[in-house]
Amino acid sequence: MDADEVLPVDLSFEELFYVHAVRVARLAHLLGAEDPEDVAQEAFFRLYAARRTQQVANVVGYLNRIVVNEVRTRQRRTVVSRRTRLHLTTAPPASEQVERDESVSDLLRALDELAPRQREALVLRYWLDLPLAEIAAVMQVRLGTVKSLISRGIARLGQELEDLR
Amino acid sequence: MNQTESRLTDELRAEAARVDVDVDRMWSAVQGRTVEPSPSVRRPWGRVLAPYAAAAAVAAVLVAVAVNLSGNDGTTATPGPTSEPGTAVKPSQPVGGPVDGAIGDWACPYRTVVNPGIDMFSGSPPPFKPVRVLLDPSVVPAEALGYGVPRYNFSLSGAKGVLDYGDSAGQRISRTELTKTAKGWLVVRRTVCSGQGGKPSPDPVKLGTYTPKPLAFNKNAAQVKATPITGTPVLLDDRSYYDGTGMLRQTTLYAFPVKGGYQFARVPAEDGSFDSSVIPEGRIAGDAGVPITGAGPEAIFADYTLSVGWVFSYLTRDADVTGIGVKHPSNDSAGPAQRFTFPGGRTLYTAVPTSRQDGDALVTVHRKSGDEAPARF
Repeated sequence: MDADEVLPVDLSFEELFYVHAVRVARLAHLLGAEDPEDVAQEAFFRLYAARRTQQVANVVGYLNRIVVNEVRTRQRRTVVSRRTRLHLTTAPPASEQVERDESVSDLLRALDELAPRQREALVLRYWLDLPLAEIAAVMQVRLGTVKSLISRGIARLGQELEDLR
Repeated sequence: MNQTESRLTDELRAEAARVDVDVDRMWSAVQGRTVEPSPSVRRPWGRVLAPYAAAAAVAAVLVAVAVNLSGNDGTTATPGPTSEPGTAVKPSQPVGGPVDGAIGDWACPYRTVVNPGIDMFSGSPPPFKPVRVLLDPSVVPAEALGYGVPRYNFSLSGAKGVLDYGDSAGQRISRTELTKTAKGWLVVRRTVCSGQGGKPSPDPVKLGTYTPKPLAFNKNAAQVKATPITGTPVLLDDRSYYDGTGMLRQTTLYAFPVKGGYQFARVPAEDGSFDSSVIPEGRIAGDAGVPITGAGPEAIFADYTLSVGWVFSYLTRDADVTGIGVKHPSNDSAGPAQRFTFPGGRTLYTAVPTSRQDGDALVTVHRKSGDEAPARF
C-alpha cells in the first residue's frame, strides 16, 4: 500500500455539493425516502465529516452508500409491516385505487411493493446504471446476491404488471 | 434488456426528473451543520452513548481497576481471560472521552483481522475504495471520539506505527497497524475483538437473557413518547455484540402495549428513527436491531450497518392461535419462540429467525384448527 494511491480531492466541498446534490436527493426519492432532501443533507454532512479525517477517493460511491444506508435505516422500523402487506393483503377496493395519485405508474407502485433490497438493486442498476460489482459494494452484499436481487426483482415487477392487466 | 427492464429504466428517469430539489435550501441546511465546531463530528454518537457513559461512571465508582501494562502485543486467537459476550458485559466508556495512555494485553480471546476497504462483516469492498486513511498521532482519533473508545495509544517506531484502543480497564480491544508515508501515517490493517469464530457475536440470535442484565426499559425514548404506553413492557430480546473498534455493546428489545395494539422499543434508544404507527392485533410484525456500529464517517474500516437480526411477533386474543414459528427454506432450521401475556386477554407471540438473510424466513401462525400459510420475510 502506498500513499501515492491517495487520489487528490480537487473540488471544494461546496462544489461537490452542487455537482451531486440533485442526483443524491433523487436517488433517495427513488429508494422510497419520505424526505429525500433530508436524506441528501445527511449524506453531505457525513461526506463533509469524512473528508476531515480521511481521503474519500470515490465521492459518488460514498454518497450512494450513505444514501442507501440512510434510507434503509429510516425505513427499517416500517419494513416488516410493508412486507406483511406484500404477502397478506389483496388488491385494494376500486374506490381506493381511483383515489391514488394517478401520476404514479403501475410499475412504480409495483416497485414500491418490492422488498427494500430488491428495490435498491433495481434503482442502482436501472437508474444509476451502476455495474453489478459497484452495486454489491454499495449494498454491502456479494455479487451473486445482487444478480439474484435484480433477477427476482425484475421477475416480480413483470409478474405484478401482468397481474394488473 | 427485456420489456420490463426498458420500462423500468424509462419510468425511473421520468420519476427522478419529477423531483424538484431545492438545492440552495439544502446547501443552507448543510452549512448550518458543517460550520459548527469540531464536536459536531460526534453528534450522531452522543445520544446513543449516553447510557454507556452513565453506566461507566457508576462502574468507575464500584470497580477497582487494575491496568495491565505488560504490553503483550500478540494478535493470534488464543483463549484466555475474557469479556466475551455471555459471560460479562462491561460498560467501558469513561465520561471524559478517550484517554491517551498505555494499553495492556488483549481483553478478548477471539479476534478478526480486517483491512481498509473491506467491510468487516460482509467481506465486501465498500464503494469508496480505495480509502486511504491518514491518522495524525498528535490528536485523538476522530473514530475513537465517535465510538466513545475509553483509551487509545499511538506507538511509533521508524516507518511503522501502532494505534491501540483499550477498554476502561486498560486492556486492548483493537490494534491498528500504521505505516509512515510522505503524507502521514497510513492505516494498514486492524485486528479487532470479535465473537467466537471471528463473528461479531458468538450467538447473535439467542433469545432471552444473554447478557448479565438487560438494559432497562426507557420511558423517555422517542418511540415511547410517540406511542404512549398503556401497560407493562415485556422483555423480548437481549444481545451483545462487538462494534468495529472492538467495543463490547449491548442491545435490549422490549414490546409495550399501546392504544390499539403494541410497539417496540430498543435500548439504547434509537431516537433518530422511530415509528408512530401502532402495530395492531392479527398482523405479523417485527423489529430488526440496528446496533450502534460504524454507520458514520468515524468508521475507518467501512461504513457498515450491522443488524443483529429480526424478532418477529404476533399479537392476538384469538384462543385458536397457539404461537408463531420461523423456518428457513435454505437450511430448514427453526428459530426459538416465546409467548407473553398482554393486557386485555391478549397474547404476544414472538419468534427469532436463525438466519439474518433477507427473504429467508418463513413465518407461520400456528392454530389449533390448522396452521396459516407461511409468509416469507
